[in-house]
Amino acid sequence: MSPSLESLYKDHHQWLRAWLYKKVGCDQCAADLAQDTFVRLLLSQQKQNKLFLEKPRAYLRTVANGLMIDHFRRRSLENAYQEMLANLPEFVVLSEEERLLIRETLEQLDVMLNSLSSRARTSFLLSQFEGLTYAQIAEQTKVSLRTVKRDMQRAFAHCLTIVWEGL
Amino acid sequence: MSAPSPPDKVIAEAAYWLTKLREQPLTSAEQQQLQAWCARSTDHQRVWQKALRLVQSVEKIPDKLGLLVLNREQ
Repeated sequence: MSPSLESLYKDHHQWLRAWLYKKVGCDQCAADLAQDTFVRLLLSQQKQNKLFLEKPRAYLRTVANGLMIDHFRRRSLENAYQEMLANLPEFVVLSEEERLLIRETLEQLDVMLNSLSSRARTSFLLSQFEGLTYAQIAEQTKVSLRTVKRDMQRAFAHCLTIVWEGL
Repeated sequence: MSAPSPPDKVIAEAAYWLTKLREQPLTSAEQQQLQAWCARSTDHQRVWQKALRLVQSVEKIPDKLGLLVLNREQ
């Protein structure tokens, strides 16, 4: 650990953990998220080869906040997924391997959809899971065919970037 | 670690083809265009392999499950 990161950790780790605890109300989650925040910092430092923080706590809060949002989104996806599995009998036939793949893909799509406009998000869901054609989507959502295609292309590009980088 | 990212342009072009494929089956002229596109570089090839795998993975998700989970209240 470089001296600057080390001192940053020493000076702000407890504070960050307490801040996170106030937000999430779970000591273990707060500890994990605080740890992840410093790991993220370490990685970005390696990439940029420097660590210059004028307002360390504001920066730490921003990073930690992003990680916290990701954490809750994953958890809500997991809950929704488990609920569906339990309640929809047609999914009982899925093998463990199929379920794993499906969950992984859902997680990637979830991240991708969250980075899209709500218009693009709707188009993507209608196309992929309701089987609507682009023309039908354009009609239903009252946008031009060209916009639907552009939104779809953007969604696919996001997907590919996420698939490429892993989660 | 993952392989170095392909250029954004290759990703955007692959996304263009995915969008087209989803719309309707490619004509034979388009199929040739796509093949020529894939043959341009290893980046193109690798991205297209990922793209096809992505399509297959998404197709494995039952419609109802995908819709209910991805469209959930947050």
